[in-house]
Amino acid sequence: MFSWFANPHRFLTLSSWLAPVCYALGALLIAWGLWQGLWIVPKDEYQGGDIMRVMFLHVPAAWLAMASYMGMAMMSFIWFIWRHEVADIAAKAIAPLGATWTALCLATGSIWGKPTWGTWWQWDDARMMSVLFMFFLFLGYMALRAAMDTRQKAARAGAILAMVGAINVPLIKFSVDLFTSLHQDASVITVDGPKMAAVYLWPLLASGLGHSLLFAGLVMTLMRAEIWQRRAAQIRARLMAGD
Amino acid sequence: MSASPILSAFRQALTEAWAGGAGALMPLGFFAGAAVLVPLGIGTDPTTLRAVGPGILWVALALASLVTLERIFQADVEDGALDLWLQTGAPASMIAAAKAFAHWLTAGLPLAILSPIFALMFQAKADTSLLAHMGLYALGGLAFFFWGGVGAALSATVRRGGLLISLIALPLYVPTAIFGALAMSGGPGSTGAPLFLAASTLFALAVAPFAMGAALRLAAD
Amino acid sequence: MLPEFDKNAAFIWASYALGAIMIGGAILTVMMKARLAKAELARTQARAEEARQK
Repeated sequence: MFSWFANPHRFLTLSSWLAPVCYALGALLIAWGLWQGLWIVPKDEYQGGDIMRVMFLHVPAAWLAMASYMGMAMMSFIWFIWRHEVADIAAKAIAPLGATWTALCLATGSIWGKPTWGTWWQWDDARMMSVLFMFFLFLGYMALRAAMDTRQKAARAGAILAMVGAINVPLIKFSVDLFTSLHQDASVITVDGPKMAAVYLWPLLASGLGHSLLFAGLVMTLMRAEIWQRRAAQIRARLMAGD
Repeated sequence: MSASPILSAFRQALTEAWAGGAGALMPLGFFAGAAVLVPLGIGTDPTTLRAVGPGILWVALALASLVTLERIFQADVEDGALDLWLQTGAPASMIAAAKAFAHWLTAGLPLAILSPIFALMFQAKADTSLLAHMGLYALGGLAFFFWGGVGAALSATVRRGGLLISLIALPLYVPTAIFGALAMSGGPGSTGAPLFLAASTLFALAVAPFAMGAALRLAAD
Repeated sequence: MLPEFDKNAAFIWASYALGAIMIGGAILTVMMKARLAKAELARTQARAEEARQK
């Protein structure tokens, strides 16, 4: 199944229509989620009033922070075992975009935290800490790839690091949870609340799916750019050899 | 046959650490520098110092390991020693583990052994818990050196890889730092933390050598 | 018509403005990269074609 996608040419054909579809559907879903989230749904007094409307941006970003890292690690694994070039191109494309959404998750969480907790940064919050370390994993991955002098080396080193990071994520998560559960401040309002009202659920799901589709579309476009770049480099190399 | 390159890598790492002036003394100086500068920076109040002491020593230990690790594999790539070891068919993961272990022996373990002195400088009470802490620093340091070794092996072919190693190692150091500091906090959760620390160090010993080995084979190509 | 929020309106607008800037920036960068890569490939292919005809 992986091999079918492994052909760059097939990927270019597939993504030429799939990426625009992702953009269109993603834009629609995000727009609907925003409209519902900002205009329609009532504010939740239990969650601190209108500030919970940040949820429709923050939660999709948090979901993508986790999902994109896992996606990158999976692509790295596939590349490492089967050496499918497209998988490496995917991992490389996911990194900067995943880092962007992870940073967005941190920033919106921080903005949400200020009126709710009275502080921009809460060391006691396990989710903030985990996402921060996720962000560092992305940064390390990108820096490592950028430091390698050949494409092949960048792919191999990146894949090793992404896999090491991925198997460490549960341990990091566990340690951070333990750390924060002992420091928990009773006055902290839990952002998830006891249960989420159904009015918020649909806009939230729409936003989450919309962001995921937009993300997938961007990854595909970035992958296309990388494939074109590699082709151009190949042709240049052949021209040089021919001279 | 296959054991000898591992042994020679281990021995070479030991001599390398002691030779060239700085060597094993450099992380120690780093550790001492942190221990001396912190009271100057945050004030000399004994209760404050006692509270932050163990945490500062964990941070100093982590940073000292990074200082040592920057060049441990780079020199082997440059002078061809790595190629020779790999040509013998010895597993790269064992060679890497031997080197990381040797550097822990020369740079990590001395810091752990001297930790009671630094703890006393941070106004810790002089009792047997300092000896137990010694064991915890040694254990946690082992995890630091193995995860840091992954960063070092991955950036072995990169000139000036120091920043890269720090960036790679930082998230991997988190569990060890948390469990280690928690075990010494004396607060809730400090009874289970030494076990978690031991488990996470075992995890590092089990996983890091393979990552280092894969990275070294890449560096040798 | 913009919706009216309670005392935390500034925080909400700040998050969404930040989201728009970051996501918009990501989209722009990606699109520009793809366009540049495509143009570069076309140029290179044209050069290869020229070289072959000579």
